[in-house]
Amino acid sequence: MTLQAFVLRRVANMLLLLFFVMTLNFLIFMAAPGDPMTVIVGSRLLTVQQREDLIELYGLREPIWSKYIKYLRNMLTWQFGYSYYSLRPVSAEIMERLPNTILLMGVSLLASMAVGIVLGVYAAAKRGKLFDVAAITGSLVTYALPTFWMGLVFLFFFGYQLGLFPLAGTMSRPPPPEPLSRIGDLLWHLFLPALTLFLYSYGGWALLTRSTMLEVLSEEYIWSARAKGVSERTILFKHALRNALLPLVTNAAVSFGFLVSGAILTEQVFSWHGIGSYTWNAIQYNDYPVLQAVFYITAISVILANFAADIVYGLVDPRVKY
Amino acid sequence: MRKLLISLLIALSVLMILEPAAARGAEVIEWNGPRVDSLLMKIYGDPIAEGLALAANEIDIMDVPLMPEQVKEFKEDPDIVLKNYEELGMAELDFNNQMWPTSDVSFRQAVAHLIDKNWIETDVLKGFGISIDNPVPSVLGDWSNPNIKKYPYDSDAAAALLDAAGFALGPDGRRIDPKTGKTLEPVVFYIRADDPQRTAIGERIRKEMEGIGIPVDARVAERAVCSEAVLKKYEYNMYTGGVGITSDPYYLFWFYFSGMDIYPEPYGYNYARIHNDELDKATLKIRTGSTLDEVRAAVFKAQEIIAENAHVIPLYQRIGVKAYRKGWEGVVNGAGEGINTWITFLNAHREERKYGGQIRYGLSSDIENLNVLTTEWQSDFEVLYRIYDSLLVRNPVNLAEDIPWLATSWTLDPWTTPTNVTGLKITFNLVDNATWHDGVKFTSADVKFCIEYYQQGGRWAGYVSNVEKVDVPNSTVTIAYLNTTSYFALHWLGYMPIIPRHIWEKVAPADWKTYDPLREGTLIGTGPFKIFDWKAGEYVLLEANSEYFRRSPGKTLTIKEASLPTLTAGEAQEISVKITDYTEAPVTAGTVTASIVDAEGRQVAEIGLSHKSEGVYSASLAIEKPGEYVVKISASYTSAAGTFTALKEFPLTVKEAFPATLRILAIVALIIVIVLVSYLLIRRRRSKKVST
Repeated sequence: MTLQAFVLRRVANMLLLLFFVMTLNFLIFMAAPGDPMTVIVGSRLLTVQQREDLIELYGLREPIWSKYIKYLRNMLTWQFGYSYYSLRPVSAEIMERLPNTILLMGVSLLASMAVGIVLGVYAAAKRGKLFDVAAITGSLVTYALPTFWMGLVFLFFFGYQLGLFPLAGTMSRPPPPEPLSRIGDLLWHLFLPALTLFLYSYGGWALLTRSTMLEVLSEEYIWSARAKGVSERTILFKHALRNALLPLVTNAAVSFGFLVSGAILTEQVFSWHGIGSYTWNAIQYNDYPVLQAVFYITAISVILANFAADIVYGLVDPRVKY
Repeated sequence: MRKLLISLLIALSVLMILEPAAARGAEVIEWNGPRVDSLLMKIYGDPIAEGLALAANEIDIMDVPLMPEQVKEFKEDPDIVLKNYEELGMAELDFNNQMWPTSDVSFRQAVAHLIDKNWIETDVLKGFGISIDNPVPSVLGDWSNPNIKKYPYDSDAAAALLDAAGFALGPDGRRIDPKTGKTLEPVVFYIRADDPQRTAIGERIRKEMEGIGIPVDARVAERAVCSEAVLKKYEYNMYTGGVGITSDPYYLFWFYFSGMDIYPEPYGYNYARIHNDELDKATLKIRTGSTLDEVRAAVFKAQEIIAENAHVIPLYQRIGVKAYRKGWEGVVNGAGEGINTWITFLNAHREERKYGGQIRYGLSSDIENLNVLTTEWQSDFEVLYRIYDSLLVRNPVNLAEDIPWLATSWTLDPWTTPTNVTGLKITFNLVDNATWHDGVKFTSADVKFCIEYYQQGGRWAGYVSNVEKVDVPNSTVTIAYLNTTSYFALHWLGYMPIIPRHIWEKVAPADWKTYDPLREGTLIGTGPFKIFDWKAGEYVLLEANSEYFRRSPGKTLTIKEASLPTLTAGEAQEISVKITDYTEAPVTAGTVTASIVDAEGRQVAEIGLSHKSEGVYSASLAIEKPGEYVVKISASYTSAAGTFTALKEFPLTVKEAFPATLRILAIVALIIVIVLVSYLLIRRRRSKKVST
């Protein structure tokens, strides 16, 4: 199969998958317990007229098929409607928050990938030794800690007790006037949430890298390289890691796919104005348009990232033929 | 017993750290402000993070009630002040008044006697709530009737009531159903499982009922299950319910009027299925009464009837605890709301200075939608109620009292609609010194526009749906004609935020739902604060409205006399005054003029004073005619906090100058004297020389 045919087939699959995801995305919310009508108009003492006004305002009485068709059309045209909560266009709100989320998720993902992979490589090379045990135990401990708890502990010690980092937000008020100071201010605010996410996720990378590396390091060509006197570092990073990359690429594709979804608990704890905290609010208020849009964008992002991974496979592994 | 004592001690220790709710109202409220220059609202996504921010001196006031662990921590912190308040809501024991045996009044009264409210306070609420007997709790101030029937905890009295009503005790220790002569069928009792307090109380009531022989089918279930069985299917006898209440006791009509027992859809709020003619009369009067006295009498009567018949048994109100940092004065602990009541943001100031500075206010939710027609969320109203004013405001420490605001006074008169329905004419007399934040004058036309604009739909449509027409006889009077006689219509119209006509009339009818005043730059009201800066998800910064029609009288410039000597007519002399701002800092860039007015009120001179140093302004003044004058010093100063002006009068005396001829004569005489004295001295010296 040529690359062109492969791409076409994958695109067709992607579209089919997308339709399936969109329908599922719609049905999940329809079947979800609790309904926005209860949340929005059911919790207060309202006159019949007031209730009707609100129901009309939020369009809560449309039949399900009408909602589905409208939903499909809107998703395809990137019109996510208006948030029940804020009554602002969902697309505008997402665009407002997306840069913060990509920054937070991107920084923590890249850092955890870099540290986790290097740690995993050395842990595999020093299997059973103190470094291996320490690295794996450390990874498992931070991986097992709930992120919201870890975040609160960091806030308490580094933010409150030591006063080294801010307790909330993405910027100071007033923001520093100089561009460089502004970047510094942003990084200052970014540090604790990014550290929390980094500590949570680097362990996964380390464990995955270690296990795939252990498999590769037992291959004969590694023994052969060692016999030829190739340095250990070159063996680990040029010979072994390259052959252990495929599962990492898959994992990276999925992780990059979730880059836009945000980290719900971490963003909430650190008052980070991103997609995660947006999703949290939407869950609380049964804000269907927002949840549908976030899940839809996340699904597209994951599908695209997986598609990219399929292409990257061929680049990193010459054995892969299209 | 030991457990009881321990619980009592815990409850007492919590209560000791809290100011008793009864102490609320001790605050001296000034109906003007704001005293501070700005209000920073900082958004926190998590109440724990917000609590840490308060402890770390990042904010001054929290918006949300504290969690019990936070109360414990803050109790130890000398820099934090805790205030408790009764929340607007209550937990109650609901009866299905139409299902046997809870349809029997004696049965309900007997159950009421089985509720140990002391135990509820000490063991269940542990200081974070108070037991209540009244469906209009004391948090509603003068609406609450203190003289209603109460049911002390007494199982003997309960058993006696049951015996008298024919629910005799059977040989197996269970009560006999007087209707069938057989053992009473178990009473279906839904107990909320998702609320530990209500679960504990429900379980205790069940045990008490079984203790006097009432069989109980207790169904401990989650909210959704209870909601389905109780609120929708009415398949219950008893339920550990809970309701939110409004500041007006109008809710008595919604909850207890028989017409609100609507089954099936759309359902009504009277799920207790109370059908009591006497109560109907009272609740209807609450709905239609057109005078305060009439409505209050009906509200009192309704409370008496509900208590007498034990239609529902009010159990408790939660007590919330809110915190702010020490060093603030003027924080008003409002009923049902706590310290972050609207008047706090007008009155609050640092202990060390009466005016100026900034309140840093923590918000636990994001601010999303600042369209006052469509938003539903508390956090948005935290901003909107600082921006917009209403015609009346509610006294935060006595919710039954209306305070004049944009309306200085109002009258309610009967009116007959064109369709011959008796209605109400509400006349609002408005202030004439209020302006919108963009400088446009506020008039009665704005009120008329607002009422009519709200009628097209949105959050306030229900509040104005009874308005038939609005007249504006002049710029300070608005008359609303309503097709209802309800006294509370005054509150529906009076408490709505008033929006500016000149802004909203440009918003097309199709666009009002999605109009975003914040991002359009048109978030303009008459309120005490103006929008200054905001960043989505981070903060909103409001600045004090320096032109506020209820600006603090003390928040102005101070003119002090530096040097105003008695002048000599015709002679130029320096006068000086010292100007300080409301923080007592010297004003160095103000404009100061002095107008000199004589005894007849005529202006004889006007001069500008220039700044010398440290807020002292001076000028040279010469007045020709001697006499008594008044110096009117006028100072103005524009800063980031707004434009401030001050006027002060000082008396000035101008004495008569020495006449010119006399002055010459005096000089000549002086010269003669000097010459003469000199001559005499010289002569004396010479004579001394000669003699020697």
